[in-house]
Amino acid sequence: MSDSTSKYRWGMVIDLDRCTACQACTVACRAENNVPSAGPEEANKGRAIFWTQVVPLHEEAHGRTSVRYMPMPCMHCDNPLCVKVCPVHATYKNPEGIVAQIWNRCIGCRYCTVACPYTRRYFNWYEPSWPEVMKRQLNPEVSVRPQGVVEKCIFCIQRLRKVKAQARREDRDIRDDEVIRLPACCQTCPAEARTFGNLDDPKSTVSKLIRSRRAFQLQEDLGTHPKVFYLAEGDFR
Amino acid sequence: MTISRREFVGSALGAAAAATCAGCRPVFMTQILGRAGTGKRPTGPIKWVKSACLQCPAGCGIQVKTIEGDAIKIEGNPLHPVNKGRLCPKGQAGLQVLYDPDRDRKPEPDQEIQTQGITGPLKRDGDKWKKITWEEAISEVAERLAEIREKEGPHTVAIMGGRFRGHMRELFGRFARSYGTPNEIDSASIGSGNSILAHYLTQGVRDYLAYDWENTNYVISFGASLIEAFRPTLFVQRMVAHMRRGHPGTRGKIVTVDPRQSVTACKSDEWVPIRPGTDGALALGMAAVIVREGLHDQQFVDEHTTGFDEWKKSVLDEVSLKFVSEQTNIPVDRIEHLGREFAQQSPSFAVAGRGAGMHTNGLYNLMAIHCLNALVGNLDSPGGVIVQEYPPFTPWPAVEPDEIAQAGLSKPRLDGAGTCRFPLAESVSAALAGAILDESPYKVNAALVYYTNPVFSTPDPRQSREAFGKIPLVVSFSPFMDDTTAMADYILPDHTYLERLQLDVPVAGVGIPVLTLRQPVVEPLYDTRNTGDVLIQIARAMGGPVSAAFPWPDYEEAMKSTLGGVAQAAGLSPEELWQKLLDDGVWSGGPYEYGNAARTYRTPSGKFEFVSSLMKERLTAIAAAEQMSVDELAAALGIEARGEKVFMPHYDNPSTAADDVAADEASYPFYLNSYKTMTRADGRGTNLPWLQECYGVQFDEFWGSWVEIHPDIARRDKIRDGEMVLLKSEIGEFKVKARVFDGATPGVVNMPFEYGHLAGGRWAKNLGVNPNEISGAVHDRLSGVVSHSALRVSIHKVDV
Repeated sequence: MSDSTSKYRWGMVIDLDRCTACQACTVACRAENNVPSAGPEEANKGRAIFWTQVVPLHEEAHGRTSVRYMPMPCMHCDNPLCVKVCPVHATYKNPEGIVAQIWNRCIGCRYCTVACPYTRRYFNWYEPSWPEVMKRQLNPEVSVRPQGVVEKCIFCIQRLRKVKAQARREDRDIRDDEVIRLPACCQTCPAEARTFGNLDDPKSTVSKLIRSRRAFQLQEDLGTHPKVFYLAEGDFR
Repeated sequence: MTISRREFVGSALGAAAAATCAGCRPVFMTQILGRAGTGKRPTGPIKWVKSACLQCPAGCGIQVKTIEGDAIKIEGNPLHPVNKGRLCPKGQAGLQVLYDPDRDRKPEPDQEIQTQGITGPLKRDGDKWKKITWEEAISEVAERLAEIREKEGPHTVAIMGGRFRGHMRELFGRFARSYGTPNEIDSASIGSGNSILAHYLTQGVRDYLAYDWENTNYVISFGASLIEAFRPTLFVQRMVAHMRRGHPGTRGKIVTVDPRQSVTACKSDEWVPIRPGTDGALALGMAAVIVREGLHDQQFVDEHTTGFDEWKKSVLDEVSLKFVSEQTNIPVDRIEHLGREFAQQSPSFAVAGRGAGMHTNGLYNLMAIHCLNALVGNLDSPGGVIVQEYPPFTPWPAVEPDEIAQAGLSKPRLDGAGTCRFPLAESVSAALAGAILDESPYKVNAALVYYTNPVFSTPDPRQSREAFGKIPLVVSFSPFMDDTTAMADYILPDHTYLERLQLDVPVAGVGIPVLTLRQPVVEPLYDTRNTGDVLIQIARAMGGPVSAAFPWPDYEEAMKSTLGGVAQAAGLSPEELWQKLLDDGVWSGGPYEYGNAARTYRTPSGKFEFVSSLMKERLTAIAAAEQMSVDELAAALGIEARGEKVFMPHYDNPSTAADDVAADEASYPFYLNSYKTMTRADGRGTNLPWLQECYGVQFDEFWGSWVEIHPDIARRDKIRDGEMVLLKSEIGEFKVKARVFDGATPGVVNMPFEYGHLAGGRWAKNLGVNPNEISGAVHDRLSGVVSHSALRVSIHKVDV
């Protein structure tokens, strides 16, 4: 699945045995990426935006219901269905495998939102807004998406770009330890459950982790080839 | 001309194809749009400032990304031993504390309480607030306090505090002592006060304990939500993950005893549902199994404990597993299994939290649970319970109270702590409202409120509101218009934690001593002032003996004057240490050395005591003062045990608010169990939309309260998931959304504690309900800690 134009293919591994379902990832992502809060009314209509979200799965285990917690960012599929259906090429897979999006090219048709089997795409139903003083917190390195545009996790590409620039200045490849906790969600994760890295480098931490018998992907049978892998003990399908 | 949807999409596609023709590589445009609303993008250099979080007591180190004086993002400080660069959702949401838009909100008329933002000192003027200068505020408050000291006596002033950090407890303590009030009242009695007391009575350590997570095999937790609300929160999360995958080949086991299937219970290897208030019975059942089967560590028991044989004879030999099973609703074979596993999987440890401790028998429960650790010899050993060490601060000179202060200090406390009412309590904040209303033992003329919100967080807030309304002078130091601050006469706002200079010592947990510096990451947004400075200034303005107790020009100097001892331990000069704190944000000692008996056992016997001599001494003295026998005192307090057994960890039946228990059970069939989630910072974090919008991860609930009901009960009462129900107790009722949940036990309904503020910001006020509103204050019989689960309720379908 490797893309010949780049030596990097970015992916993420989420260890569900480590994860404590604390949602630090959810909040860190919103802080880093200028995701607005919906407020009680809009949230109750299901319009709150979460680039990454911990989804509770109530399921039978040992004769009674238990709750599993799935942290879900965009899966950054190698075969992304959202890209296939976008009529205006607003969303695309970049040479390093990140499913990115040109916000101001999006026409808001939401085909991608429907096509995504992981429901990781969100539509801006309203103009994002913040009380005046809260605007001081906005990250100047990430633009705010306007009303009528679909948005999603971009693997904190703004952080990746900085690391890449540094590596280029020093005329070297990006090192594993520079990116292992690079996206905001991986950076904050108290349990160190989330790991980021280059799937095309067999020596990278993520590559080692996905060779584990605990590794699996969500809905592998769809042929989407997600680049977000999960690790879990026992039978988790 | 009309364009159909299909044509429109088609033409758009063509345009897009043209745009991506050869040579035009798609450009990623995140950088193109300006910053929302402002139209400008700050372009200055990024500066990272090290500081300390204060969204919970854990005390994680943080570093904050700032650009041109704006704080952009908080991340963990990699050098800090508590969090090692990681941060929880509360810590991540800290910028919404700093940039809370309601800090400068315009005055808002309200039915009960007028609220507005706090941009500087405020004085109540009828039902409105008036802005005053700091000089006016300090001199007026000092004048009023001096007047009370002269006329009514200094003891009529109550000092209420919650989250004391960076010597603030000592600073308020100095104020209280030099002024002359015995009424320093903290919030331990509405939280985990019983944990501290249980460790003190058995081990002589008046503190939370630390646990050697890194080397343990087996953890059993009684009513402590380890990964949601245990301390230090983030450290425990890291350690739970470490137990899972941190040492290859070994996988630690975690057992959670809790009436509710919390996130922690879901993530544990075993969840043991239990009837509320009976955790002590389970611990004793496990202990009995361990001792009967000879699985305890006899050598440790001989060397490091006293009273084992008496305890075994009076308590353990009497334990019948059948009785324990009836009390706890846990099958006998499971109790046996837990006991054996705990002893055989050593190193193991048992931890207990609020869930086991906040009952009328809570103190005995926690003591019994802690005995498990001593039985298997896991005290101050690798993989067991360890004792937190603290930075060796140089103490301040002692305070010399003058005659007026001495007279005030000799008066009885308002809350009855340390009397025959709450014999083992240090302070009982929940008893204060009653004392104020009854003017018993005397009238309260002033209250200073620091980092606590008793009108929201103590049971029966209506009573608290009435009581606070009666106090002639209420001074709040809060920068936020919370429920209590809205009732103040003067508001002398502190900085928020991201604007404040303060030393910080994390809550017990990592073992080694840690000292963090909380330094301002941005200039204060408004005209706020560090409460440390304000307290010194008030004392100065009062002059005389109160002023003499504060020999420093400001709070910074007061803090720095304690650093000598720490600097010596660090092998640095005090200036070098300060510079290190500014640069790294943290100093820590270590490594932790096991097997220090003097540090671990601080009881009179120098050992772990199965029969508490400290308890015996205290209760005997109080009984003697009241001219009673200890048995009579025990009977008066509602304790079932008699004789020496009173001083031993044993199982005493939990009781509820009602005198007639059977009638109570018939009309109010459910325990109401209120719990904490990870996204909640003690109710202080309600006005944070980032947390509110992902508040209840278990149910995908947000922006409001709910009550969890077992499916059998829901079926019987025809309650559908998501519909509104009426929750009734003896003292009140409210409507709340029902969630049908298999992880509830049939006799218990659960509610998160966070919502139902009557004041606060736009995202806090009038949102959801506060379980305290329908609970009366029922206390632990010995320590006065509020018994949350004594509250019983009934549930009724609401006809729409």
